[in-house]
Amino acid sequence: MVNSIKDISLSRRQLLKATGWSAVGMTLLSSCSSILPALPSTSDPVSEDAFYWFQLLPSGKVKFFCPRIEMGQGTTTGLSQVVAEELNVDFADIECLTASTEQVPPFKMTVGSEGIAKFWQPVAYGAAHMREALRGRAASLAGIEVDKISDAYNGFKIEDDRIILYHDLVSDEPILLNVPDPIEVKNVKLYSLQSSRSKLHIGHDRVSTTMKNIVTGTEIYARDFKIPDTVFGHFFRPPALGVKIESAHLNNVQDINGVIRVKKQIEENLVAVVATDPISLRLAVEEIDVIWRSSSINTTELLSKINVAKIKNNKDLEHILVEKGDSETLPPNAKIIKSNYSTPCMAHASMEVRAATAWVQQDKVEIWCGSQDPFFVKSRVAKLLGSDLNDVIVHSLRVGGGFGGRVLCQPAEEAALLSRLVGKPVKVEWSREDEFQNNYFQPPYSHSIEAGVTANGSIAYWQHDFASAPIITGPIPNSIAWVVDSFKADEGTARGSLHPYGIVNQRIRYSDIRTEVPIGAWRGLGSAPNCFAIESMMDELAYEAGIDPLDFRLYNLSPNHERLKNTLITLEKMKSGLQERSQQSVNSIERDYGYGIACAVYKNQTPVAVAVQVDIDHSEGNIFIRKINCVQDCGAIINPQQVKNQIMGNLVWGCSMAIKERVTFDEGHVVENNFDGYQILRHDECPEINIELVKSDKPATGAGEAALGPVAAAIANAVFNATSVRIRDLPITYDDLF
Amino acid sequence: MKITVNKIDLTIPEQHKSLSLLNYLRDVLGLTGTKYGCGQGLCGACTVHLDGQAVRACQTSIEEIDGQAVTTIEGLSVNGLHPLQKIWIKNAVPQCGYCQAGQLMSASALLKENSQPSTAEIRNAMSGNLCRCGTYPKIEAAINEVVRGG
Repeated sequence: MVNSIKDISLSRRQLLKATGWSAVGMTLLSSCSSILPALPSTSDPVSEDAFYWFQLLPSGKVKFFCPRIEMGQGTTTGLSQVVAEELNVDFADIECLTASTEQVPPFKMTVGSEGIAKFWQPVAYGAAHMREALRGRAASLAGIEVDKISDAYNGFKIEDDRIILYHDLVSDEPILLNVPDPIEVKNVKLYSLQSSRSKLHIGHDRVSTTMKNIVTGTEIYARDFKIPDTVFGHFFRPPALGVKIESAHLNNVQDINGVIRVKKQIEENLVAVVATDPISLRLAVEEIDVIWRSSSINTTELLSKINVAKIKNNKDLEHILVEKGDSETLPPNAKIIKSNYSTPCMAHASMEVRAATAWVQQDKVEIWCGSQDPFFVKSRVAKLLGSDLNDVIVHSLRVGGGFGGRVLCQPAEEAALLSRLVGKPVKVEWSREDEFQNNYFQPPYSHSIEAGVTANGSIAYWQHDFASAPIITGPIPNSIAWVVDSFKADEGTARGSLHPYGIVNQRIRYSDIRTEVPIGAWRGLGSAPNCFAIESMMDELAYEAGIDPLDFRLYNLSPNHERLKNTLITLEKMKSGLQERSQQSVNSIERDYGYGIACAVYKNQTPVAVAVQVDIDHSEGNIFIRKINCVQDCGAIINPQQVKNQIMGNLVWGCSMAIKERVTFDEGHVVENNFDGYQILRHDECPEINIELVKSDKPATGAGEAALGPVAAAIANAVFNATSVRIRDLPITYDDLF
Repeated sequence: MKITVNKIDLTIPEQHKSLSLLNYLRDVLGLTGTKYGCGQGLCGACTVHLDGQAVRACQTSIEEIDGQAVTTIEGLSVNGLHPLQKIWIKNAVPQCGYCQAGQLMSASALLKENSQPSTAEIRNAMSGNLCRCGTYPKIEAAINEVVRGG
């Protein structure tokens, strides 16, 4: 009988490991100061974290506490394939669970398309380490040298005819790894990462068992979660940014059956009610009249500060990203084009509307919610309640679309406050209007690009100035925002602003202007707005030079971007159908067809190129995006089906952004606060999509946001190709053509 | 008044008559497969069948449906999976999955009415169901696959 290895206490490790704001150099501060507010979890995974992600069960199956939150991006499927590959087991032998905060050390928030790029290696190491630890056990059991034991399905081969299964190596308790004596990373073979090895799972499509739960309606999202004795709470949330309660009239709310508690503290801007069930709660909410003061935030004025031309009239932009060659003197033989571009404020519009259950008990606080950063939720709730951080446990549920907008989970905080008040588990469910009004937004962007192209098609000169708001540091509290802003340019705002072209004389500058409009991560951060401006200008330059837009890009690409070059060449091979269509139909009075391309290298890692065909129907007054081809090179691929799903999602999102989405404010009130006002692309507006993945054994790079960047520019370029009208401000509508 | 939900007869007490079908399903019966998305009939996440037709549960009042039969995602198929559910899994159609119950209820209502819809008919019938993850092309292909297979 083999002894089980005891689980070691995680609490000490959790205390020791900082999860602070490393991106802005505040890790040390946040880990030792109780004055600072809770901050998102930003530390990259380290190999030793991986020891806590796996348990071998007595059945021989593996429990994988995945350190990523699943919100549709498929990372848990891909990482489960890595585990299966390392352990030589079936995909079905991996039971993938989303870890609660007490089960594993803190892990980085699930953002930035990093799930595979940053977690493949540590997950592979953890699983391979388990395999090698088990090989050691098998050796002891068989009484032979470790190097005489080879791999077999679900275990090891001892001699020609003798197999020891994992099952034989576990007693009746699940085991963890032998943590006190780890094998160094370099001494463990990572099968999933060996390019020469023939793979069982890597590179193959696998479908998660969760799919069955989803299609049968049994998957539990935060709104579906329920534990016995749960009661239901509601906070009256401000109908506009920053507004305060003037007065509240409770009327006959106490007479409503099921009302447990009403809390009214006008000076704290708090009116809340708790009832035994959601039906009574709704009646109670209708009974209470809350009068709000008018907003002191003039959103129109605030957002008008994000205007690059206005900024340049007064002063220089704050941050210089690139300055090389002579970007001041206009080259004599170049044609100069100067254009301004803009993208509006946009909302996440995830299909799931957030909700959470909290239960404040004597010795612990439990939260059930869907958040991209459960450890951030944990520390925020601990701060809010004044609890010991170790006493707060966050159980993570599948997120119904994150896209950057689900880092905070405000209903969890509301539910925690109300649970403390009533001593029972409390569930808080937001409405769709709450969701639009109380989340943070993609900031508007304002660009000015001046560029020159020579007669032979070289870009001689590039001067790009843009303004937006801080994104990565957008949600941090005002109390520390000024510190952050004083020494850190926001990298999220600048994402995608470094183009892939070899231009000798260039300057790229920007300002990130913090206003009271709540701003935070939206799919791809700055990559889509920045790419829209850059790739629109590339099209303008190509047209001016009289060169095919794809040839123009190939000609001007920096030699560092060989992979983007290959990506563009592959796109060229796919494109013939699109262009023929546009030429055939060029003379139609009723319709204009147009073809446009754009490309980018997401995070300077993932080259992607898209070609779009638009069909402009003058009788209907409609811009229809008929077809999109896309080529992406995101390095080695674990699950092609999931990568294609992600690319498809980005292309559809890009269409939506290009022709539909915009949030406006009326004195701090979000005008488009449901899907009638905030339109996203509908099925009958969705183009045909063709995707090619570049075969590669290079390290995996981000796929969850890469293809979004170029879509809007490719659409605008196709609209120009169809109509000779250049649209430089998103969203593009049919009326903009005249 | 009485309705049936997934073939089970239910008598509606007075206090539940004014509820929306969505709130009745989720809050009274605990059938959480039907999702709240917008509360205004704009997104299709709460789609169920009412006497076989796709309706938005958030826009359907219980008192309007006396004697009618409601089918939710939990009752879409009594014996194993519906052909659409099978293809949905095989092709890994869902991403975040939140809208998918509504998508499947709209798609299954379409096929019940028209077993051989054209692609244009599929696109038209499905355009009331929003998906932020962008699964539309896979939904369309999956429905087409069931139509061709059938």
